[in-house]
Amino acid sequence: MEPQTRFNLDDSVAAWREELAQHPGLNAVDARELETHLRDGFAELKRNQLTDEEAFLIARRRVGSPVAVADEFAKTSPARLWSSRVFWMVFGVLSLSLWQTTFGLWWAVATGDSGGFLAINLPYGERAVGEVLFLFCVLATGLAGLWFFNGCFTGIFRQTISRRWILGMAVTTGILVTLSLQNYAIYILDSFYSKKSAYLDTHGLHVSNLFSRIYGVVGILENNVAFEAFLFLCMLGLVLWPRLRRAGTKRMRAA
Amino acid sequence: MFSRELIAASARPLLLSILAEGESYGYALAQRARQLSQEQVKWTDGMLYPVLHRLEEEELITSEWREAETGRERKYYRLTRDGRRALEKEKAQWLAAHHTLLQLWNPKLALT
Repeated sequence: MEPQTRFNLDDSVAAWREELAQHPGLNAVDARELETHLRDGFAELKRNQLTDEEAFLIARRRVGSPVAVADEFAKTSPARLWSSRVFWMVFGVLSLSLWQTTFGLWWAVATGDSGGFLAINLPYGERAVGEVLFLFCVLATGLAGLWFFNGCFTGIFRQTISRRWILGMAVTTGILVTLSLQNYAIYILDSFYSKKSAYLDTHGLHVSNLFSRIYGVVGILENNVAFEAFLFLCMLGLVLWPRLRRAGTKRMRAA
Repeated sequence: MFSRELIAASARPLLLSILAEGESYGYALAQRARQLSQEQVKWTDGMLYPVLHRLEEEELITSEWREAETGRERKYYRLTRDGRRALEKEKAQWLAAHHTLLQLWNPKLALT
């Protein structure tokens, strides 16, 4: 027989709240209110001779599945849902752009070439490797963002995966895989026709002088920084806007 | 069994009517709704809250976090004057719909 782990109410409630927190329709106050509901139900069911675990499962079921409840909340406040969606879109584009700048800066320092990392100046095989590294960094940033703003990202991998999520991930993965495969295929074809050495000569790494490196760095910054600052301000606005609005209505009511 | 749409539509007058009996909080409201419907309407308790919050936005009810006898904080809801007026309007509408259907289904009852 498998050893049974002891049921702990606070842990279970915390896990449940974590699940709720995955959904943008709900804010912390909503979640807190639902938690008191869950605990009230638990306390009452406990009085009917149920074990902790049984009482928790029934109380949880009565509140409803986090996905369904959050959907219902989202319907009543579509603005909150959309501001959250836009926030994550902006976050995604910003992290993509920031990594592009980082890789571009490194590339500019190394070679003096300001074309940016994703420009054609790398042999295709190396470019494929670089792309994988680049995309890994972007993905890691996304997960770090989820962890930072939602307190967790476990929900993505657990019950809350929806069909839309899977579709989105499949499309993105498909595009990225095609991109990398295409570059790799060009590389393979190139070497197949034994042009590789000549290719490296024309496109390979060449170290240039200090001036061109500085020029490259300036070029990269010029291209990206204004755009990134704009995205950052958008994100800041999305975070601050509901607070400002709440403060505004409070003042209006007081007046 | 009630359809989803009907459950959603009836939530508003139901919550207003229960709150007309006096101040209450989410869990007690859900209990009362369950008891009144005698399990005929399958409420999911969590669905009540969005409706409550919308009513609050419309200023038909007000809310307040207060410590309950259990020591935990609870959010209590109370009907406002606008809420009472809205309830009267809801009542008239639902009774009119009810009356219309009753004439077709049970003419004797509708006459009284």
